[in-house]
Amino acid sequence: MLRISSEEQIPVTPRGGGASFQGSSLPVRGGLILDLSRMNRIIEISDEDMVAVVQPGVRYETFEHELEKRGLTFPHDVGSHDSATIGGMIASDSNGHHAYKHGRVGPWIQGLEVVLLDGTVLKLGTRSPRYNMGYNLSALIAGSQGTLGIVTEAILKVDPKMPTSASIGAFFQNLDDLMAASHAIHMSGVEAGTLEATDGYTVSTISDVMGLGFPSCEGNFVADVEGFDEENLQAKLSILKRILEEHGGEEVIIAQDDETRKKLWAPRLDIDIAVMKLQPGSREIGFAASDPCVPLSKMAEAIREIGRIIRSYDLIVAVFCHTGIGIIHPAVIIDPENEDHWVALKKAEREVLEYVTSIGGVITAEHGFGYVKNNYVKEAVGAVKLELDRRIKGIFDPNGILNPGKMALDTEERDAGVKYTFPAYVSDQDMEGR
Amino acid sequence: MAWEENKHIIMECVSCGLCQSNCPIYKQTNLESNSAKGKMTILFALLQGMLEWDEVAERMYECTTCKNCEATCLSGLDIAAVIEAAREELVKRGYGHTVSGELAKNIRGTRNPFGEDPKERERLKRLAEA
Repeated sequence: MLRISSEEQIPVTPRGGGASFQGSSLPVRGGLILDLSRMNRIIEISDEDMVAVVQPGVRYETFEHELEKRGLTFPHDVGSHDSATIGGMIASDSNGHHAYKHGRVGPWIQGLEVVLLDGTVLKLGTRSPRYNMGYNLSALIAGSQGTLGIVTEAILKVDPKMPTSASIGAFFQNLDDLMAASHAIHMSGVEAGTLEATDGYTVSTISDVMGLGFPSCEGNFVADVEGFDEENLQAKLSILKRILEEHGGEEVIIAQDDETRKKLWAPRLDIDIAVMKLQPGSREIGFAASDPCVPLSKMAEAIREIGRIIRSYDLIVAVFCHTGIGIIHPAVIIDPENEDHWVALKKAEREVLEYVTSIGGVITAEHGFGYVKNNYVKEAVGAVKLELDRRIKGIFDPNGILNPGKMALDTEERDAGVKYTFPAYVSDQDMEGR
Repeated sequence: MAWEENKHIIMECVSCGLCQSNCPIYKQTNLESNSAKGKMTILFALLQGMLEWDEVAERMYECTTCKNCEATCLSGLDIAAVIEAAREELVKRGYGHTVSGELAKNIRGTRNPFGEDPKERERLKRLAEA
């Protein structure tokens, strides 16, 4: 199919769970959608080799449940849960909720089977834990968003599942204190799974909507921690609690049961839905400034400033972030049938990304470029890297048929010639002079 | 309820796909358009004038209205209510399900959905009692 598509120049857009936030799996140039969700077999889980061999359509949580039965884990619990496929996670080089501890998905790939456009099958790596054999093409495929080849099988590293875990959180009147606490936890040697924060607007909104009784604050903080037994877990929790209180954390909550954990994580996990309930007809929009990353020392300032910029355009935004790895997510809710909201969103997006770059940050660190960021790619990576990226793309896909229109590999425009879902949408061309 | 009043529910679907994990229809076909996410996308396109009613009919009838999707829905959306409202509108517009139409005709004509002669029912009843 790929060989014929290439010869006939028919665009092919690979798709896993379709949970991308940047339109990575949308066929913006038409052609074929290659839905890989039916290639959903877990071929093997090897306790001895500590690997799993899976097809790309395996759903994340389905995979994780099978691993848990054997005391194992693939600890990349992405926000899209069971709608994410392993293929999509590889193509996006995903960050899970616990990326602070476990990093991105890419380094967990031990081997790949990739079908190239001429129909040949590229085999990378083995089930051996390490290899160092020339260019690391697995790392290149990870995050390539289906623009280079089709992953048809993956050998993934798996880890032992720690038997106990808990979440701990606190409320802060000052985001600088919150970030100082997060840094102190990082330096303490207690290996937390994740360090997260949400801004005061998010906390008060979710508290009101869900009736959680949270105190007024400038931000709340949540960490996950695991232990090899209950005593080990309690020792870690005790250190985290002390650090939070020493830095001004109020009303420390420790959650070991599902109900308390859900409450503690609500500002982080339920906020976009809560805000949409408050504004019927509104939607969260996957815009270009949804996942910037800034130096850790600039986090408190950036959380405040990004929220301020977006609100200055009269838009609703909930800001949450991964304090351990510098990533900030402003979740913007707009009425997509209101032209003024689209104009405001695009202006705010530009201002946020210029601000992020000015303090030494990067415009995307989690969701990738997709097509939503096409117009920012050259500024972000520079002309030299973009040209190299395009030459690499040309080696794998000389006719440019694999997932065209993405990552600025063939255009720096994102909405030219695209049929808009919402008539009120304002294209980049129509933004000129506004 | 007027069909358009379901628009806010359709708009609230964030296309996360969590509904796919326990949808009995999706489990059989693995077609995204069979899941609640796919159906809300289709209905959204209908509301936007990108699809016509006859184009959406088949998928709207491929739902058991079991509400499993509601159990996992991130937004807690009553998907089954939207599907039933869409079916009601389909019937009004002359796109009723062929099987439903046959069942309705049978009930009107023979007082049973199978189109069997009512006398046969009485005969079977007597046989069962004997």
